[in-house]
Amino acid sequence: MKKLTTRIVFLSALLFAVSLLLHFVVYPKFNLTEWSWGAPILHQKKIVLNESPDKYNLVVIGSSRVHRQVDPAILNSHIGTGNEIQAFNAGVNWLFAPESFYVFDHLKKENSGLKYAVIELSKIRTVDYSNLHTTRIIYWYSFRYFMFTIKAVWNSNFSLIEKINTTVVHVISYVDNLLNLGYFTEAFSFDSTIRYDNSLPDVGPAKNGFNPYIDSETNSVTNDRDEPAGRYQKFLADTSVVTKRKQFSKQKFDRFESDPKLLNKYNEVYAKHLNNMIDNAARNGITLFFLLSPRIDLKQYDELIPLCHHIKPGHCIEISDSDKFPELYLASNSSDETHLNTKGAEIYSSILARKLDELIFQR
Amino acid sequence: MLFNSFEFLIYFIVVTTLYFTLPHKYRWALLLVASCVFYMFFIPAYILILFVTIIIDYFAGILIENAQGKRRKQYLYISLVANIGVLAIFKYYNFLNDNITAMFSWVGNENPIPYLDIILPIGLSFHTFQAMSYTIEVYRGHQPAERHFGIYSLYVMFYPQLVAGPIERPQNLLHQFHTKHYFEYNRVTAGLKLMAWGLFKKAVIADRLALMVDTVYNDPGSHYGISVIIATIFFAFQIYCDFSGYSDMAIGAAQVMGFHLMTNFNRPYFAKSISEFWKRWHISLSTWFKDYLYVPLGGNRVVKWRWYFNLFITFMISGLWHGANWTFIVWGALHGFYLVFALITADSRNNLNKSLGLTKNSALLKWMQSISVFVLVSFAWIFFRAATIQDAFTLIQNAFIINSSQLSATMFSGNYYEFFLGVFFIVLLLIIEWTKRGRKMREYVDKQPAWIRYSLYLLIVLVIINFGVFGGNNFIYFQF
Repeated sequence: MKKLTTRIVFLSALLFAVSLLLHFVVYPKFNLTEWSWGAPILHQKKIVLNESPDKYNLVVIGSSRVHRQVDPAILNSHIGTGNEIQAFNAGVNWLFAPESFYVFDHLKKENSGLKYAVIELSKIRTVDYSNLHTTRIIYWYSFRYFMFTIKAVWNSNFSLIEKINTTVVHVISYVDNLLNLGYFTEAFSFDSTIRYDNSLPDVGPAKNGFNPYIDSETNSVTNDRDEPAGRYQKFLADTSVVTKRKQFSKQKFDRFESDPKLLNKYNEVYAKHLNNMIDNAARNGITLFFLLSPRIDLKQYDELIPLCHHIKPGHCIEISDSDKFPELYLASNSSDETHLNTKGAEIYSSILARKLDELIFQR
Repeated sequence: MLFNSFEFLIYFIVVTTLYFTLPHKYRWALLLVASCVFYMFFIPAYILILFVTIIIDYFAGILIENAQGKRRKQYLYISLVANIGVLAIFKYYNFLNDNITAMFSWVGNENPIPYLDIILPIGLSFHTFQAMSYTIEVYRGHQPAERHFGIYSLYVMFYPQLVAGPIERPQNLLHQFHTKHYFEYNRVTAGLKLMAWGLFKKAVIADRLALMVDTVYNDPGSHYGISVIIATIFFAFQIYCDFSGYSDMAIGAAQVMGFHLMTNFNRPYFAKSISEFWKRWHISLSTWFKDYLYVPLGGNRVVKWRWYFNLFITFMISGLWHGANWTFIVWGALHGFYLVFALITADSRNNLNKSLGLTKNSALLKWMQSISVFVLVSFAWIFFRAATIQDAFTLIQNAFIINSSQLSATMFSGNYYEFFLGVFFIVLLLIIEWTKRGRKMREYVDKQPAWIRYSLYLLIVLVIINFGVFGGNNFIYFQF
């Protein structure tokens, strides 16, 4: 048994060494992929941005709450005199920290005209076991992001089980990344399908990355609950879910307001990282803001409200409190439980524009 | 838990290490608990269903052995009814009800029989057949009844072959749980190599081909000509690599711990007749049907028409075993038809070969026979893979419509790399299987210096990791 163990350990070490060589030296030479290869929508948006790297001076990065709800045209017209800002929506479905930080780091490098950036605030992403080993889960890792993730998870308010689970899935995903799991299969697919696809029907230059839930999309007929129409039909069957989200948001914000000491229980690792990001961005001439979106997952309030308070003053935009923004919690402005429809997105974008206007132009 | 998952890697290392660390008397308990954990990764509550049949079969075995005369048969029937009953409820009830509904609607009435909101427990068909073979063999006197409840449970729950076979016989497997297995370097490494080869077939070939096969078979109305033909050929290799890959991993995992499971596949696409194909494909199932259905029906020791009937009905039931859908029944019936047709035309085909100057040992004849078998088997796979009979006929009809643009436009989504990689790995598989006939390749590798052998192992693992398709593809045969 000792002989076998020794040989397996030796082979594993050799396998790891060769994989690292492929990962850091050989594959970059082949240039089969680009940094955005793990998420097709992200790559499409990258193509738009790269076509005119000086055009946009503000990007908004985040999940579907950005992708589907932030209209750059409203930001352009409502911030400043209407001429100073050229905004781009860099939201991607399911884009949460630290993948969103990875996206920002790359956009920062590639877009020389960038002056402002907004990143949606989220807790560290946990990964469902069924999604393990997929490209989207593993493509963005680097040692820096991995270390931050693990440290932030263990400083978070997750339960011990959640901490262990999240650590396990991030360790697996990072090892997958280093071993180049399924690299050729996915890289070939990327190279021959979406890499040069600039048809961009949904997010092209005319829309500046914005892809709202339009009525025709939500009103179509489907039984698939993952489709916008399916989610809308489910939502119509019980719109009280939004009222519950509204009440929950109010409860959480009221709790912190009545007992401000609770704000001191925050994730110090995460807050430090965000403040460092603000400083680093400033050194590159970019003013970075973090955004607390409406209708966030119920478990996120306890982590994100204190976090927002410990971000440098003037760098966290809070649009989550249902007491202050009741219109963002109306069923008539919704496309499903967690997303706004076209009308809701318009209201939301106007609020975000007003907030940015106040922060950028000190009004 | 899937064999091609990270969880299984950890599970396998932990279970195997504990297995060799524990004293022999506790090993059955470890394996039984490990097998239950393995099964409960799918739908935990369904383990209770397995345990109900385990209890019935355990006592049935002892009662059959102790009883005399008609009583023995009665106990056997109780066991068979319990096993087939569970299978019938979970697998065939809603299918039968679908057909009753269709008949009622044909005469303008509504079906009053309610549908059951149930999911087929994973691997139930395999578990049931293995359990049935135990009571039948005890009844026939070929196997003494197992008195140790834990070991009997392990026989039908043994995790390597629990959800997709090979379907073992008690004479081969049961006694192995009583024997102490020592750690033997050569046996363990041979098992690990077999597992790696199985994983290669599954992750690199089967799941890669599945991407293209699914595109065509999930939208049969939009694909024509060469696309349908290529997708069908790819499916023939997909299902082979998927299922034989699983079997290799199962046999390899058992071999590491010292258990010998029966061979389930023996290069079936090199078969020279349909009858030979079934001696090489899913051997554990085809021998099960032969021993427990075909032979009891009379086999070939009856008048000719009855012999043909026995063959045909055996294969139709084998089709039904694969799934509660008319597509599987037609698939089975097609194979039954092939076999009967081969028997009827045997003399005239031999005469034709002689008149063409093709002797039995002619290489050309052998190749023609293998290709013919592959074509026939692939044609039958259309029914196996299609979602409905209608879809299967649409695909067959569309296969004759020549529209070359369909190949690039829809099947590959412009991704030709995958197509060429798929073809490359199929050719590689066929070369390896061809040379394996004389175990040439393995012997050649074993004779090489250590650094060459280890480089080769490393290369195989690197290919699996880099070229594999990951992200949760289930094994096809899990659904049965």
